[in-house]
Amino acid sequence: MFSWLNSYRHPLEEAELSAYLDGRLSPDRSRWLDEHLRSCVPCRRQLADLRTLAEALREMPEAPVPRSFTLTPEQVRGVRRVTPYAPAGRLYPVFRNAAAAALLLLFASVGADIFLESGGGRSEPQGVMLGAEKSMEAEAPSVTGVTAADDEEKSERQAFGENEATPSDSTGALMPPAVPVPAPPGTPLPGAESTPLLVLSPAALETPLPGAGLTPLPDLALAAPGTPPAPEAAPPAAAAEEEEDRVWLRALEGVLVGLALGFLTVAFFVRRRSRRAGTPT
Amino acid sequence: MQDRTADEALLVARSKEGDLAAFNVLVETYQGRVYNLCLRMLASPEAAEDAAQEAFLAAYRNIDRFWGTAFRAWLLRIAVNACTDELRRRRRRPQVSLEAGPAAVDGPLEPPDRSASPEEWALRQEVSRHIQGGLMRLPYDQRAAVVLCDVQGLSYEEIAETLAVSVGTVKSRISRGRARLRRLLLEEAELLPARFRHNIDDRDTEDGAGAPALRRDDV
Repeated sequence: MFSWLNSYRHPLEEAELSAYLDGRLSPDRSRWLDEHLRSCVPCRRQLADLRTLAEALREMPEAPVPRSFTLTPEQVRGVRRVTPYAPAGRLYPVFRNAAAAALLLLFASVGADIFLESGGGRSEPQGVMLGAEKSMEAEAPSVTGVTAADDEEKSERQAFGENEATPSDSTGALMPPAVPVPAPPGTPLPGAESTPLLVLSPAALETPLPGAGLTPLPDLALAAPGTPPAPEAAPPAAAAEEEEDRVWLRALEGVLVGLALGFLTVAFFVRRRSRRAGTPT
Repeated sequence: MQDRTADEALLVARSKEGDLAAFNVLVETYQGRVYNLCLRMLASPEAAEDAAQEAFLAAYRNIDRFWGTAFRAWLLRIAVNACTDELRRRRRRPQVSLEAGPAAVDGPLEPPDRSASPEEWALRQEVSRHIQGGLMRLPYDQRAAVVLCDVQGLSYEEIAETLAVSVGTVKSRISRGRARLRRLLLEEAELLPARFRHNIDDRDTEDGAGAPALRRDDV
């Protein structure tokens, strides 16, 4: 009465019976199924059915071809041969070498990173800083510029949640104390709106990387009109630049790691594909 | 076997150089297999003929992309793809009904084994007609796997190569295809010739020996 249940009693066996029939079951499972078949009538029947079915399929008469399918020159004349895939012999080294190049650059940038870490490359940023001063003077009128800049600085620091008394920036120890000129809050000076970019150092303007916003403080303090760029003020600026360089390098390293992995992966697949038969669409 | 592979490699190489005669030797070698694959996949002689022709043209077009040694699997893959296209085309313009096909498939054929008796031949025709009908009701992927495995006698590995799937996938498609085909055939078991319709008592005493049968009571 409930005979229809039979075929659903051994779902796992049903999946395995087919492989068993073709001798494609692992020895373990095969032995297990041998044992199971000895005691399980439904599975035995099912196996017998599958065997009959496979036999019947094999015995399906082979139809003779209705005509020859050989191609005539006329059939082929208009046919454009599909260009072969670029032989892997050419493509594989391209990707392999690209991966190698990316890795070399990665080592170079790690080297530069270590160089910066050990305190090299201090002298370069001077010129950039002077440029910063010039552009600032050009944009901001003398006195309002100071207050605007300081205002900006203040809000900037507040925005970063920094305590004004104890600058938490890593360069803070070297930085001259930035004394904010008290300006009446709520009365924005005309220069304030036009010079918001002042909070960013020129290098940061060129390369708006995350974290670059943390560095402008020394620049601002230095570039304020009336305080000529003192030679002893250079190290903090250089430190900020270095910090920036390092952020840059980290990003570069990340990109290079990605590129190297990407090229290696492509090279791997190109090579693997070349070993298999070419596949038409 | 080794010879065949070597000859084939030579013919493929010459085909790549544009030697149509060499390519046609390959066509003659495989056209029976390709046509029969198409016939089992499409169940219509006309559709199978179109698909087979299309497959050989596509093979000629793409011969430069063939890279490796498994030419048969490569060619059969093209044939399976050609069948997919043909099926799609016919579905879009259904003036030729594939559903009407199965009955006609084996009709005009000559018995391949002339030593078989007419009765045996008729029986096999009848059975294969039912099986073809069942095949057509399988999902395309399972149909391809079952046809390649049981009708064409390919190994799991070669089927995997042909269908561009893993051996595990092939195994599962064959398994599910066969199981489903079995159920479909059991549904119309009454229509099957006596040999495939033993009654229950036979089977239980026989214990699977002798001619096993598709059983309705298992469904």
